[in-house]
Amino acid sequence: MKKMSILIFALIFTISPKSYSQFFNTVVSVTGNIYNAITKAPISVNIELFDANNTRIQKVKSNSKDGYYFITSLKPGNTYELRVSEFDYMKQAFPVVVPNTDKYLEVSKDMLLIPKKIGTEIPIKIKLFEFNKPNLKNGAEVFLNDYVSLLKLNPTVKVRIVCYPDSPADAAKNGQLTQERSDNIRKFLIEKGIEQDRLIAQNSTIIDPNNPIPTGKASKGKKYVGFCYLIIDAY
Amino acid sequence: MSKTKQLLLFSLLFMFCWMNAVSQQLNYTVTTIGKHTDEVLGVFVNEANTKFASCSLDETIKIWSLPEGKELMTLKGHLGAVYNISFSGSDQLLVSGSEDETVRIWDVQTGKELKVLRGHTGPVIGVYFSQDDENSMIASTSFDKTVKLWDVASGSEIKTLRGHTEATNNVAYSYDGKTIASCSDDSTIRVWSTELKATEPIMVLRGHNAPVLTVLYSFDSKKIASSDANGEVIIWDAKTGQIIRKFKAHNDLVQDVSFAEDNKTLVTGSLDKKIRLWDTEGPFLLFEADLGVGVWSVDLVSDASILVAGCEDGTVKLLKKSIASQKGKKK
Repeated sequence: MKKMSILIFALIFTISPKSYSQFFNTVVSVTGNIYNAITKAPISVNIELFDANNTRIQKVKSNSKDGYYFITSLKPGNTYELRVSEFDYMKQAFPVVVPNTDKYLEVSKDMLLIPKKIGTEIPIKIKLFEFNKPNLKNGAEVFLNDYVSLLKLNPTVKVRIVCYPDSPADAAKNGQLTQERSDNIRKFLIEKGIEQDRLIAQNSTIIDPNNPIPTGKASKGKKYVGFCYLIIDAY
Repeated sequence: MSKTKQLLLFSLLFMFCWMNAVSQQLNYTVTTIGKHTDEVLGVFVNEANTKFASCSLDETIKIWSLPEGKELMTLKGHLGAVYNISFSGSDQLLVSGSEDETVRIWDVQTGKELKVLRGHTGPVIGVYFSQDDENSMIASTSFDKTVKLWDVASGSEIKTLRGHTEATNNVAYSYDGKTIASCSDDSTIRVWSTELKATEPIMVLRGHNAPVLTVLYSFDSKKIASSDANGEVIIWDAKTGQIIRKFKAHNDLVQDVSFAEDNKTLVTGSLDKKIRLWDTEGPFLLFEADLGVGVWSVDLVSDASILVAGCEDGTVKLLKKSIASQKGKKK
């Protein structure tokens, strides 16, 4: 019986060299660059690849010059997670989906790592709110869930939520608008399981100094809505 | 009358007749067919010339019928300006790129959002579907300076092309599926192989003196057209990278250009409020219209009988070739 099985396998691989190639040679790698989320400078960190069963597959270090990393031996059709756990940065995880393929493939995943430092301002660059409105837009959860994951992976981190207004109009109105926006983000995070004592909601009556309203030619094709930030207060 | 005078008179007469013939042949009627609530940043006509899509600063995408120009549906989901759109080669899917840093895939029939692709670390400025019938790949460009390729079936990011030193503005697949061209604020165009192993550009095209805002292949994949922030347009030989023609098309930035099926008629639209149709083998100006408002985006049906314009005031305009002129159309 054993001999028979060996014979059948040998026959299959002899008849179909392509199958042989697919079975043994299909290699998928994941590659990308890692940057500091605030400065955008490339960084050297340890990256671990885990499979769907939470088994660590590989550990590599990114290049300090350009933040480049390369991990191979991934299997077509599987899902993985890249995890970064460095002292100076927040713990972060990034999903990797490998398509089904019978050819060599390099899946790509760039990563922005948030420095673990008191005072770090993490910009939420996505427009979570309509112009001059305080309620979260439909679909905001897709982006806010990233911060839920971030805070769950870093359970000692406490943040202040600060939102900036959309126009330099009435200070009192701006204060009210931005307080309501910060409160709504805080409420969302609490509903998703983040402890309320880790979150402070704060308003702002002035336009974001890091992201001023574009004027002249720079304003063409743009609609300004003030950014919100998570500011690290403790870790 | 001297022979010289006779010749001059004859030449003037000929010129008059020729110009008259050209203007008769290319007479378009402008109609505003609808409106977004903010600037229209992109328009794209499908392969069958039966629909077109528009995208806007108002964060929506609209699908319109052709040739009627009837609004069919509004697609909502992006959380930021929708900068660009592209139909798949089969016309079944639509891809959009947005300020919210996502690439989204939509079902054109139902308007349903099928996939949200995340991976860019900046706003997504350009998107383009591979023009094969399998709807297999999407290319995207971003403020993060990269060009990314996505596998549509799995939603995976399967390649990142690096090399541009500033934001990448737009991207296009060649119709033969062999190459991709990307353009950037770094004033260059890079031509890449679609082979997944290749990571370096095949060519870097230099000739623009300002940020290059758009890039597009002709249907025969032999030419590339690009436009820049100074209003210049360059036609490149897609194989050699040589400049075939370079001309000042407008007095303000040209955000969008599009080829007709004859591979030589090109439409350009500009913030100088004009839309122009060129014979790039001239280059001769075949037609121009002052729309009275800045034009962000243009496209045309394959025989150039309808031009589509997306404007700064949120309007979507159709320019239809008049019946009288269609009689004289060479086909």
